[in-house]
Amino acid sequence: MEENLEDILRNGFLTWRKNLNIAVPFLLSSIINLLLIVIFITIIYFFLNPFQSSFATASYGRYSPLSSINWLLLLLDILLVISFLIIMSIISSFFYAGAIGMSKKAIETGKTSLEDMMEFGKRKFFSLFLAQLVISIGITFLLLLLVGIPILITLKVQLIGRSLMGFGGNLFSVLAIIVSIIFAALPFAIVISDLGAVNGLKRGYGFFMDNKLPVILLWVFIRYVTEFINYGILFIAVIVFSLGILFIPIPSNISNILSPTLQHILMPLSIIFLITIAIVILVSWIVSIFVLSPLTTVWWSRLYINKTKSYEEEK
Amino acid sequence: MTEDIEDILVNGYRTWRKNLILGVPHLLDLIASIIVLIISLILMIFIVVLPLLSQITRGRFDLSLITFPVLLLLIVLILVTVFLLLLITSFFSAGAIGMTRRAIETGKTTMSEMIDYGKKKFISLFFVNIIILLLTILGFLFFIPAVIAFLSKLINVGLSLLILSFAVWMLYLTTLEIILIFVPYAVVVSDLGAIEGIKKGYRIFMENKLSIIFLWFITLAIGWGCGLIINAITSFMGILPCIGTLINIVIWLLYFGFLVMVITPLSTVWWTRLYLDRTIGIKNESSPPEVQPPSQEPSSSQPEIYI
Repeated sequence: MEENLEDILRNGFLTWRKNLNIAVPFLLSSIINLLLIVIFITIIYFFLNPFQSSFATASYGRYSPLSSINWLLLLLDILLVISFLIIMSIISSFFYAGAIGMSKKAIETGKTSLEDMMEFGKRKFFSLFLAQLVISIGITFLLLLLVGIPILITLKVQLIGRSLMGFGGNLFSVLAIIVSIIFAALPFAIVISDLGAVNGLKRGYGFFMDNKLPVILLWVFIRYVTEFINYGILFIAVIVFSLGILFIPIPSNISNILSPTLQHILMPLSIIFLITIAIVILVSWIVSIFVLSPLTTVWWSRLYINKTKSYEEEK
Repeated sequence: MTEDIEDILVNGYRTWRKNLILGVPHLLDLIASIIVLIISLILMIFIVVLPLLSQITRGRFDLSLITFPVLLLLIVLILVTVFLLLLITSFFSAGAIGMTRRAIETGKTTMSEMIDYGKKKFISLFFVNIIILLLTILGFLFFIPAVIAFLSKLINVGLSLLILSFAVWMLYLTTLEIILIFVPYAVVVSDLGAIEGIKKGYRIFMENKLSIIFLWFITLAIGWGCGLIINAITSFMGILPCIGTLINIVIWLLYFGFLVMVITPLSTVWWTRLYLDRTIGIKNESSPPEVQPPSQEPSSSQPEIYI
């Protein structure tokens, strides 16, 4: 019995409500990646800073930034950045595969545990990583082609280059959206249908071709749910900010506002602004990890399982 | 019995394809509104700007010339314009919804349908529009605490309340838009008066929140997607000097026409279909719907998928 999209949304929501532990892989993934970023920045800053020597020479008066960059260190840094990016995406793939496996188990049996995460993560992380690598290489290539080349042209012919850049940017955003819709089911094909990277890419694409409308609709729904949740977060930010304004010593006489008291206002105002931004980042992080990511994973898994099941039944 | 969102989109698209005439009321609405706006603009120029100009040419410039009667005349003119615009929109949207309903139920529709429904329902729809306008204006009440705070020289509190009330106001407007989205359809399709229509529209919304929000997201997404594509096209034309700008103006006009003649009627078909499906049920379908047999069974009987 096939579910329609509204059933998928409703039942997916219930599945998520009964299995809140699907948030755990996303939590672990973001914590580990955050730690890695901190370690990475520390290493670059303290041990492999290619600009360090240039500051030293600058203080002696022989300032020549280019000659004083340590090229060997810079090369090492670039290698380090690439390897860190690879490590981080492997870790993300592991936990994402785990999360999809968990939601598969939750949809099929009604319950899931962290063992499922480990099992699916171990089994599928490499295929998922490879497939996503292919997609991101493709997108990077598009970006270079559509935005990078116009930037080079801008250096020679300003006017044409700039409008080419605008066009390239717009076209890139359209194409990137199309790619993200076409391959939206890719991770689910790899984990749920237990496929390798190449077959997963084929199956992910085939899944879109067989189910164009539901895939587009679910993508749209998730996009706007995210957008409206972000408005909700903005609402919280506004409340925090407007509460903060209460503590700013604004003179009741507005004509005084340009006098030296302006400094007394700007300082607390920027502090409140920073606090608001910090709260917004924290709340969006929490909402993304505990609600949006697990919920959308369950929705996509449910759509994928439903449509593949009816596809196999037809066969 | 109920169609799901995919069926509504696909079948609605078919209905629209067979009845491209559905775009006409929206086009007429636009043209009539533009004419009214231009006329009232010309009148305003005659009432206010011309006397002032004659003063300036004579070398005396006095703002006190805008006397109370002139001001009153101006306000009356603005009110009349707003009322006329609301009347025009009410007539043509009643006609459009009526035409759409006929197209969905019999597979075909004509312009006389628009005149019929427009004549029959435009008064009710006009009152609905007035009530919605009043509710929108009522939203300004949120700003009253801020104004009071400013007047009593509590700048902090006033500023804080101003930001807060702006956010609440936006929330209020969005909620109003989505909650009352079915009201015109309730008035025209279910043949109700203004107040009953609002009640019914609200009730249908509460019973079908997910489908309505889903369809709302879809219409938003279509506008967004069209905007992205048109941006890409116009920015490409921007590369050409001079001619590019000219071509872009033509493209924008065509795009505007596309929105009025394609996107608006299509979304009207979807909304009408969703409303019909969730209230009366769609009957007398011209083409036999192939989705009928599976949707007979309740969707709750799925042994293999647990929730």
